[in-house]
Amino acid sequence: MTVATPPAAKARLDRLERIWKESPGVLGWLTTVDHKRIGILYFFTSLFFFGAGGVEALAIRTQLIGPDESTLSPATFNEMMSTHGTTMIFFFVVPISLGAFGNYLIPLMIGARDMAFPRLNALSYWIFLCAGTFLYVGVFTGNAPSAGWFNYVPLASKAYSPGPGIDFYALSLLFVGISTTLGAINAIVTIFKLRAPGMSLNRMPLFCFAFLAVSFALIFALPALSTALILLELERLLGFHFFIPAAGGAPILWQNLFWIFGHPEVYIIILPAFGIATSIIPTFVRRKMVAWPLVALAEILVAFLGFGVWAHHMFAVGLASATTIYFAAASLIIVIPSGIQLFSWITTIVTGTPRFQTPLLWIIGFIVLFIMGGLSGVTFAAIPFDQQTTDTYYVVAHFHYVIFGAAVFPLLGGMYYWFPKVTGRMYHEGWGKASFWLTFIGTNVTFFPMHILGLDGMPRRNYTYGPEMGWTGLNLIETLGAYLLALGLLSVFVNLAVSLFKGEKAGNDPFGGDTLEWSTTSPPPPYNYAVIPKVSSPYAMWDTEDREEDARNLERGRKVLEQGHETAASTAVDAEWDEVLDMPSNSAWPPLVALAMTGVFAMVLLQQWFAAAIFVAVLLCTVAGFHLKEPEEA
Amino acid sequence: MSSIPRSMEAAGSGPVAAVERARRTQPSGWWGAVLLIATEATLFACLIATYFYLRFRTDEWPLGGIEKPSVTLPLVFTAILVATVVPMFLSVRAAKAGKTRSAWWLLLLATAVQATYLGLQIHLMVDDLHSFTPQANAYGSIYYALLGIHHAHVAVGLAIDAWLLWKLARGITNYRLIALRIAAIYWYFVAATAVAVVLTQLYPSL
Amino acid sequence: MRIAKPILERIPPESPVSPVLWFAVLGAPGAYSVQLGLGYWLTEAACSPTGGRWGISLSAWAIVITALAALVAVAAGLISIWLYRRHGDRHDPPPAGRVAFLAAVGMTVSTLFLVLILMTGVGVVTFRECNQS
Repeated sequence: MTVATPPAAKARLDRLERIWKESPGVLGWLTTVDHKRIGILYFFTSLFFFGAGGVEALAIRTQLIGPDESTLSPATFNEMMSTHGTTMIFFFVVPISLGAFGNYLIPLMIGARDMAFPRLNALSYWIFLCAGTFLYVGVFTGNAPSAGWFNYVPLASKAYSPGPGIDFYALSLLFVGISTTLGAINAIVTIFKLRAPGMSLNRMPLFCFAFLAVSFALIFALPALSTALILLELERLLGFHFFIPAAGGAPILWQNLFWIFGHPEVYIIILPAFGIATSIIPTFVRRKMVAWPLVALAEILVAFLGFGVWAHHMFAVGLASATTIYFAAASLIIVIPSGIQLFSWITTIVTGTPRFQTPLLWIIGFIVLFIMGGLSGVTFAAIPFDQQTTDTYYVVAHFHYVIFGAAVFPLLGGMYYWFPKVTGRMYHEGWGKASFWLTFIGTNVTFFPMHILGLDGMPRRNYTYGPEMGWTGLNLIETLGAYLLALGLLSVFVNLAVSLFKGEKAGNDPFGGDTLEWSTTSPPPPYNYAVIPKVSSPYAMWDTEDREEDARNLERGRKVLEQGHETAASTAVDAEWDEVLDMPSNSAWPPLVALAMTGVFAMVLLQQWFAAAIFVAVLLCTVAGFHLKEPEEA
Repeated sequence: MSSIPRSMEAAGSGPVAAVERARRTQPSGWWGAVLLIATEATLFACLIATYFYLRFRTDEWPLGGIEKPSVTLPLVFTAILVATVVPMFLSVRAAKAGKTRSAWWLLLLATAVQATYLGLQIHLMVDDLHSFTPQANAYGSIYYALLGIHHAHVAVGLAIDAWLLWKLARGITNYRLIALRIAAIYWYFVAATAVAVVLTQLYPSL
Repeated sequence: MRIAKPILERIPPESPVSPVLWFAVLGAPGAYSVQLGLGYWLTEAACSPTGGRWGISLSAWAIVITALAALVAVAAGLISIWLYRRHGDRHDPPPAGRVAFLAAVGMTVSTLFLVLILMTGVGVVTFRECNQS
């Protein structure tokens, strides 16, 4: 709907542009607190780690292409396997979901001008960058961790892993945990407080329900990992005893703490994907989501129930039946919320008018792969079956279907879907479809045979296998599949990169989207919305009367909030307008705090305690600096 | 629209108190602090669970012939810390009512007592170290880990107090009032944790 | 519902902080969390070297905790139904629409968690031994 902007409205837009203009150049990017720029920074940094994790994956598959290969030594294989898992989970999929998609889209979807804590947002990014660099300094100096992403003791203890690899692992995860916790807090407060007036809980986009669920899960899951890592490092660096039986410790303690974090973590990985899927489907089938309240509930339920199933990762460890039965029951029930969502998505697609463009293809691929991964997953709820297949390739098949198939496919679909909004250009549709099919076929060729190999007894995390086992053929197929998959992913990124320069200009709303971000320009202006939007339903873009009222408000100067760097704050449940908040602008403190923190972690790793104490003092100074200038002075 | 306050522009006791009264729901900073407290509380829950998990692995507790902890001093010190909840609460109430000077003095009182608590607790811990070290066995390790992490949280609280005392001496703004409220709920959390930690620490003697 | 009336007069379900509304939504998950937390710890205690000598009867505890948790879930479910019938349409503006939405959530959640609570209870009573699974 392009209409000539009346002069009064134009004057307001110019004033907003002047107030919210970003600082130019590299310094502007280093000191940015704008959620869109931070989202872009997270995006590219996460993709770098995706590449690193991908190289590690290809190294693993190359080593396993045939029996008795020696491409990688056993020690290097263990390092590749450990860093692949750690990188993909902590430094790719969670940061890209929460930090890139969440950061960029949450304020836009709720009609706000930024996240609740913009400087904290920037701090989360810089900590993430420093933590990932920290881990990879270890990797590149020959000190990669090699006890797996789950890092079980006693293998991970000083006696069996004397080198610093495990310390790089533990400290980098504690470090990135700070970033993720701050990001989760920011997302929750933003969703609670900064929703446009009128956007009560029953009018909030499903994307926001998913991110609310993810963030709450992170708040309660990360401390369990932090506890485990702190105990481990106290043991490794200072000689404490938590996990060594001779000194009164318990190895299973690590497993319990790790999986109390680890299981919610996998739902944390997949929930943003659910959010993206529930955004893309209504747009491309031009129909509201079937059973909307149940889908919203299911997203929260998955996160909640995820806390009740952790010991299903420990069914083969020797726990009592009386203990394990709790987790078997919950592991069966947790299928139901996922099932609710699947039935809703499928019904919505089938009863709508689908346009099979690239983003929807990725989501349909996601649905197929999620069903397969979910079916293999629920089989683990049966303890006897789990005890046969634990530590085999059946598990590897399951989690790659759910992590890669079900978490990454929507991310790729989301990249295509929001590409026009972020860049202002359209991607190439033909290449988009081709890249989907290459990746989809590659995924199945790589991971499907793993079910068979697992049931046939091939153990996971082994650097090779003998020719007499009969696993050769399927391993070869899997490795070829992995290369095909890599090609598919490469074609996605080449398509997006080329389209960035050569794509057709996209308007505000090329797809007929249902949520608010499609009402503003592509890319959005620094202030997101000239007028704080009026909201009457979860499909704000389809409420044309409300959007017309926004245009009238702009002309009359109502809800424009142009007296400063301002956005609206509302009550948490019913979104009644409560305050006008002043948002901070560019600040150098976030990267400085992150650097000081890096110093602390580095000195702890090197066991230079006095230097670590100095860096703690520096950190306190930078945090004080962070708070020196109060927001309204900015 | 004119009735919706531009909260962050409020400076000086009168305007800040007015904004606080007009607000219908908790400010963003308060929510952020509550969530941070939730995550830290979960950390302590995991540590306390670790304590009892290790305890149930063995018959003898404390391990290795370590003496059971003495009860009196830790309980008295904890009571002293819990008592500082009162001046913190009163400080916030005074600030909300526009009485910045009273708020400042109450905060100073609370800080002094909290710092004394930390000093006394560290003295006790150093005393304990003469009898047994964290490297002795799992009991020693979890004992000192739990106490040490709690004391670290107290130290952070003192840093927050110091910053607030410095800032509030220069007058009150909406931002500083929210910071004071956050400091108060942080200390309520630390006090609650102190109770949980001391009960765990003293469990073999109770 | 005479007991509920005084609470409703002071803080009606339309209020964002209504205890009745939030109990309807969070009662059943809360009851399940208590069943899991307490129950898991009891099994860890009962099946450990020390706790084994305390004579903890896992099946007795399981029955009591399950029964109480199930009662809470049923109560939450009934309250959700009552709330839903008072405010039927989630498309209404807030607070009525929001209450209807949360009541629908409460009905679903209470049913699901009731099933889970009962399944867990039956499971624990059946597998109450401390032998390794």
